[in-house]
Amino acid sequence: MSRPNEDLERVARWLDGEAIELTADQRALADELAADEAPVAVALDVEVPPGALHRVHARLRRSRRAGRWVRVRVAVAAAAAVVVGVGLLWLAPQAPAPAGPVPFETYLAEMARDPAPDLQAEVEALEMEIAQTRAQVVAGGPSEVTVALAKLAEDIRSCLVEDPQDEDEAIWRQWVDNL
Amino acid sequence: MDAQQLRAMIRQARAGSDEAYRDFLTAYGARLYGYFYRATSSAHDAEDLLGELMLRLLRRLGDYDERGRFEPWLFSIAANLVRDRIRRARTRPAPASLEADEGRGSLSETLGGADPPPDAGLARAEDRAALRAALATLDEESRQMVLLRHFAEMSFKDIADMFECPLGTALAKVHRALKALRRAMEEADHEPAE
Repeated sequence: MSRPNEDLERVARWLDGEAIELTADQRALADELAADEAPVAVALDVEVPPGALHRVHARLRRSRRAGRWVRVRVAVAAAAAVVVGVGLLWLAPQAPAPAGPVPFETYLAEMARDPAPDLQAEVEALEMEIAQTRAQVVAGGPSEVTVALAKLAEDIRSCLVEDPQDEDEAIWRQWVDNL
Repeated sequence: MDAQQLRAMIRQARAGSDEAYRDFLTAYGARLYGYFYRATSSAHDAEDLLGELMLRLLRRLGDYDERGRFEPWLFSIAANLVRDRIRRARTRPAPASLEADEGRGSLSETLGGADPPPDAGLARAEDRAALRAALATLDEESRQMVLLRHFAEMSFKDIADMFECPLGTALAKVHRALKALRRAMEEADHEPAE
């Protein structure tokens, strides 16, 4: 039989120890629940087997000891890392101290400086090269590049046309003669 | 144990006192064991879960807010352990049945119930078997509610909070479960003993 939720809530609050008035119906429900609970509660009780709590405590102690060892190992490792770190810092060459911020006046002077004097030498060398090339073109002779390309073409042609077998035979004959 | 003693014990345990943990076991060990045993029907699982709980307590006692109530907090950890164990046993039934072959009892048979129980309050083996069988027929939530009400001495409000249900629902479920358990025990009593 389903009961109104309000009844159930009131009975629960009453059974929880709240000082509230129950209707006769609600009180009957509370009594019924208590009557069902009593024998079940007796039946539910369990005896702890001998030694069980001792074994649980021993397990806890073992775990705590293991945890302590882990903490000790971590602490030793951390200490060793600190010692090594400090040693390395001590042995490392001292780096020069940072220069610090550049004064504003220096920065301004550097930015305002004319870069032309640094480039002047390069500009003059380029001008000389252009003048030489122009003179060669005017004179009509082959330029250095043309000569170099012609030589390269000749080398390639001779490599392709020469019969390597003849050359090998000549070397062989020369070796026999020497013997 | 009164509140002052409990506070002192918690502080000593937080400070790492081995004695404090022994006191915890003395104070709550039997109830926790009973809860685990009834929730799993296995003496082996009950002892193992009690050990797990103590390890968890070791790690989590620092988080415990002393303004709260200790027992519901403690048993909520226990209930989570049981839930995890049952879930694991359902997903991995094979190892559990091996344990049963060794006569230690296990969760797989648990909920069918075959472990020789260390019951104190029952005179007849039929009653024990009937109670175990009846507990196994309850849905997981109802079984937990009954066990927590008995072993953790939880109020209906605590139970409703833990299971996130209305107060009336908690009472109705506990009432229905108790009725089923009582009926099963009475039927066992009326059966002729073999």
